[in-house]
Amino acid sequence: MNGRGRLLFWTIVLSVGMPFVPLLLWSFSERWFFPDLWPQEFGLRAWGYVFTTAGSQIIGGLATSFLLALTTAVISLLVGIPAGRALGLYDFPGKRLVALVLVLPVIVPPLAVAMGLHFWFIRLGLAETFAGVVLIHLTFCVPYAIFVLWGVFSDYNPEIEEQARTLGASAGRVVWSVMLPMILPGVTVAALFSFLLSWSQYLSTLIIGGGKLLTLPILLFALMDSGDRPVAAAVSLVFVVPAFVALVASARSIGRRGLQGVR
Amino acid sequence: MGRLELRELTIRYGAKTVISELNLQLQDGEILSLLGPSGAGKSTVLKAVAGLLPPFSGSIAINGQPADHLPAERRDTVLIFQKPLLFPFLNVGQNIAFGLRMTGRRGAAARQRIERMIAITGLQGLEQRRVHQLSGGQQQRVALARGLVLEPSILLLDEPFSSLDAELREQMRELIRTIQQQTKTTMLFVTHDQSEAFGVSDRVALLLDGRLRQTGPPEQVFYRPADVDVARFFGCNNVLPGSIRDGYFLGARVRVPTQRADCNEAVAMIRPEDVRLHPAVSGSDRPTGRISDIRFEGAMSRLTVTTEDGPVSVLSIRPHWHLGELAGLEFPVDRLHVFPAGQ
Repeated sequence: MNGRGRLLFWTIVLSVGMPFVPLLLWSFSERWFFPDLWPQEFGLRAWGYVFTTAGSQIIGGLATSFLLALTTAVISLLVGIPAGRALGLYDFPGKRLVALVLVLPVIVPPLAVAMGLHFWFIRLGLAETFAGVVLIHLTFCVPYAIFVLWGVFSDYNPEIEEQARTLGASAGRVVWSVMLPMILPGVTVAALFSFLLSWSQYLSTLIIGGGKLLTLPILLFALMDSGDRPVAAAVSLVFVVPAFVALVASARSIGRRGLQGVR
Repeated sequence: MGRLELRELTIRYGAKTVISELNLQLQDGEILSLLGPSGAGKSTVLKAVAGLLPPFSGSIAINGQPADHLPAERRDTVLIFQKPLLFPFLNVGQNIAFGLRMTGRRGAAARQRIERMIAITGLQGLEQRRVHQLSGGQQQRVALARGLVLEPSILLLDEPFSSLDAELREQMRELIRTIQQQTKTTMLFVTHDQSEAFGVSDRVALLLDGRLRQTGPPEQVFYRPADVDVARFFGCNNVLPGSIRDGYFLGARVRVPTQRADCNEAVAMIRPEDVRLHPAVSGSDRPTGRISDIRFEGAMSRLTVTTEDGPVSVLSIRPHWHLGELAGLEFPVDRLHVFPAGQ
């Protein structure tokens, strides 16, 4: 690594890693009062609390958050892939309007959307249900997924599918064996976006879920409210780990080379 | 091995008719070139035969069996596109095996076929390569191998070498010939390049404005054009006006025997390389003209001779003429093609 490469590397490490330093310190501190720069006493009380006393609650929160984010990501892809394909490959009247409508939920503050929809969700019996929370997450996850895949498909040559057809691949196999592998990096990005957006939702989950759906962010806010900083810091770290794992796991696919195809 | 028969094939895009009433037969083991200017609808014919485009009317039969109802993946045809369109997420070997995998053929027999195709196309040792590591010529060879490994009845080629440079194109033509000799595959080859069509195929079919104008061996369509447009397409650009009377075409200074019926307005056409130039002799009844342009084009030079009837284009090897010189023109009678005008 040369000088500039090293500089870049450490810049990234520092800018990404810095915010975690106080979190780590807090989570391992026993006593840490102003104006000291360093905890007066270290200990494992916070981690003990997370893994034993509140363990089942945290695991429950993790499971709920994970299931919610996964469902949201999968549905976002199921909607986003055909929609992105239609927008990327075909010209049709009203295409610009579609783009505008897609941006709306992203522009309008989620709070307003969630508050407004809450009324309807109560009437439809969707409030305080898993399905309801998935739906409210989809209002902003789907547009993001569509935008990512729109870009992917505007760079996609559908002739490769005709080629596969004449080589004996049925329509279904073309989707599985040609289209999906071709757009895999885009699909990964779209899935990751949706997953992480859903994973970090607090407000909309709180409004629609009404406290019934205890995701990790809901638990985290409750802990921060209680003023127990070491425990909040420890839970924050627990909260970051799955997102980080998802990112690292998908990095290989995103960075895969030569996927632009042979044109 | 395969026969193809297109009967009264008409293809439309919306209200626009691209191909009208096309009749064409390919014999077993034959290479036929579908030749035409770009936009003539050549690729459209291939897509219809491959099953990628439903024709408006007419029928397609492969080996005597109607194929109209078969979707692309169940037709015994493979289309090789202009671009190699290799699957970038598969390596060379996996690309070639794609069709066999899709049709559920695996095992020793499949592997043997793949190895044979790799040998024929000269891709030994490249099986593990990623496709973006290959040169353009290698990519197109992989595309050929990927199609041929399925042993289709009809191989359809849509200007497969037009993105390659001249030398490579020559090699690929040779390869097509070799493949044809070794596999006896029937091929329908689409191109806009005359020399490519003549060099590769047993027969040439000329498509102009969506209609098939002439089909035959290369020499025949080149030297015996069926009408004015075909003659023009093959570069026969000298047109002498006249009329047909009692079995003779009568021009200003030419008289050509012809089989055609009497007609007040007719044309005689002649290829520029068939016009002969002589020193102008006074008192001769030959048409004369002045050399008004000399363009060097390599093997031949193109001379323009301005006569009373308009300019005449002449192709000549190592011409000794100079600009402004007076020349006598000879139109050999057996090289003139006579057509009724306004066809």
